[in-house]
Amino acid sequence: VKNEAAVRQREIALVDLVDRLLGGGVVISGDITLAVADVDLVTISLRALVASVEKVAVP
Amino acid sequence: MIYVYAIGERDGDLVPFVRNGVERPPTPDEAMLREHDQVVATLMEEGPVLPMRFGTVVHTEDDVRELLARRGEELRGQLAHVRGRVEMGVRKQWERGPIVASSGSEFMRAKAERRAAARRQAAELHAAVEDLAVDSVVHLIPRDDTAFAGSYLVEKHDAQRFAARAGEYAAVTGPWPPYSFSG
Repeated sequence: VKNEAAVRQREIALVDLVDRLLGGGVVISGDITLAVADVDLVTISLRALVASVEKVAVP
Repeated sequence: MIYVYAIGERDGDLVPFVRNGVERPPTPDEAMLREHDQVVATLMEEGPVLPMRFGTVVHTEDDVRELLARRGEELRGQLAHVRGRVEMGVRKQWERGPIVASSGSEFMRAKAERRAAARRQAAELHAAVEDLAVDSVVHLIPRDDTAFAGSYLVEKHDAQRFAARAGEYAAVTGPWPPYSFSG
């Protein structure tokens, strides 16, 4: 029962994630492309990930 | 290509947060969705951000600057709305499947009855958290197995109180970046 509850929680969280990321957020019309091709996923630590996120200089 | 995670505000300026050198748009699978979410959540710790729709890829930095030039005022308004606030998710599932009906009118009646039931449940939750809500978006019956699902924008320091109260009526997730209040 405990496992079922955990799986359910996880499913709920995933549905919530999908709803938000694919249904919300700022949209640049015309420039959005959602890939359907399979891409090998590489796990990168969050620290490295965030460190590599850059700010665009706005004049 | 350039992947755009979010537009933030730092020291009064609009700042796009991007990753350069992306070869292709990301596949919308769980790992990539979580990556996007974690990056945006981390950026949010340092200041207000508006998440971009997942999968937003542009060719040049000029494309991003063009967005800021075109929609700068609007984005600043949204940033002001979400500053110091977080999004909390609510989702109420119920044990119902697709409507089974033997006629069109019976179907319509069953549908209206369901919608009324969902609206009552959403209203109960709303009444319990109304004083904490800065803004909210709630959808009735987004899927057959769900009475309602939605998002509340609350002050960061009210997130736990919101979760405790809303948890009496629905499954609560969050704090999230303000996905449902960025557009």
